Amino acid sequence: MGKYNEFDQLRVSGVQHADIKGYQFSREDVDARSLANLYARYMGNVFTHEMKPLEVEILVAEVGAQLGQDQIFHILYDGTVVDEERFTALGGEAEAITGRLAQAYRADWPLAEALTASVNALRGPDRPLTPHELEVAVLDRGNGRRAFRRVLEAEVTELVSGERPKRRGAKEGADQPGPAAETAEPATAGTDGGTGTGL
Amino acid sequence: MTLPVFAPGQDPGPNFNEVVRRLGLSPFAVAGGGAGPGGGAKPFEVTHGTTICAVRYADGVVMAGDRRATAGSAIAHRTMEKVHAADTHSGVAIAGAAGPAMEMVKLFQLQLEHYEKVEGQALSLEGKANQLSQMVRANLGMAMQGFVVVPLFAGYDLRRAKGRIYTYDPTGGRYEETEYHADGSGGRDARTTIKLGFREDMSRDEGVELCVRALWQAADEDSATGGPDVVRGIYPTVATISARGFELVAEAEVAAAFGRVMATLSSAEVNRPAGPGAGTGVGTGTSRRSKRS
Repeated sequence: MGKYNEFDQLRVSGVQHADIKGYQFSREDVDARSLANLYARYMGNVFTHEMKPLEVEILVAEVGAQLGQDQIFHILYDGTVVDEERFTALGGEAEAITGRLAQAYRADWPLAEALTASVNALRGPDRPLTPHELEVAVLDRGNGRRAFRRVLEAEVTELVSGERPKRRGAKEGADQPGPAAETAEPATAGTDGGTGTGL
Repeated sequence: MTLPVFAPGQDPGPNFNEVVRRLGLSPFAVAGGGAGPGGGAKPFEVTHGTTICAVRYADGVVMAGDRRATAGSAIAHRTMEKVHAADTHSGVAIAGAAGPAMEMVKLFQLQLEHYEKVEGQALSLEGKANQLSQMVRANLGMAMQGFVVVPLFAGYDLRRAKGRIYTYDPTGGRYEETEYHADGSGGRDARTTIKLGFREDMSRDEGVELCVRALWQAADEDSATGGPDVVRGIYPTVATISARGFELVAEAEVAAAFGRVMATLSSAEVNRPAGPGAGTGVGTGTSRRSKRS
């Protein structure tokens, strides 16, 4: 999240880095930690040497081959990396959202439950939030070649309303509406990219 | 490694080939120099992959390829995969020099995925076909030295709701086929078989069987094309591409299709006259083989 042109450039750079690494070595060698380190180094460098720091925060998430090997890194504008456990929120009202998430969080919950809780945490008590206003994606370790999968509006509606819970819950606990979120806009549960690795 | 950050005017954007080139990793850069068109003896035998085919059916396209790779007259591999998913709704099959061909498939898959990640939506089917055309053209230098790669691209066009097939020549020329195509050294034989058996709006099973039959005929006439290997249990790679996406046909199903094809073929063989002069024996059950033995 942050200043659009800055985070979009960083997002594309991350995608380029991940794809190049997967091409040059193997897709298995693409991981969140090295990408987070590169972001941290670049943003830290800009923070100390340039006219102005980058006004962005980045989230890099990875699903491992097994439960418990997942990673979430939160990189701040000065290059500080925070290794997050379980869930995190970025942007405006991040603390309030995190607080609400902490109350609802349950390990190994299905996607529908995780998404509903995330949407509730995101909107708070007095603000409606329709599926149309959300951008949702999951990193699903059972998704084949690419773990990243966009959850489109129709499916979001279905998951949140619980009307037809035919889809067996996600293997991956969706920590946030978009655990793959690399850049999330404050107002939406925005996800972007897919640099979230596990690509 | 460092984070690839390009200046605003220099950013290659969603073009992964260009990113690869900028970072000095392009596999096509090694071409050039060396012998001219067809010139000079090759210093070594190159591994070649051969017969591949694609046929339209009611719900999309069936793609198939045999499993043999040859180096000169030797069999280099028995289990090569020549039909690959390019992305969720398209597939690419390759014939020609195996090394550059596999590299091209890998780059092509990455290019489509990279575009989608950067742009947020997938390329149109025609866009994908044109991308592949550019990659074949980039290989022209190598093709001139004998390392020709000829892919076959097919996919389900989600916008037009139909299966489409694209073929290529070594210079990158791109042609859309309306019904079917086959390429590689046994391509002619496969094509003839498909031509005789093709009908509009075939079912999935009929499409799979027609491809399998075409590959059998190609293997029967062309030494570089592998037939079904019953001893080792190796069967051609067959895939369907429809609105549901790219799906590999299970090996057991391919084996079963082969069983049906072989049953009809052997009864045809049994009932066939033994050659010129034996034309009177039609349908008498006089086997060609028993006459020779």
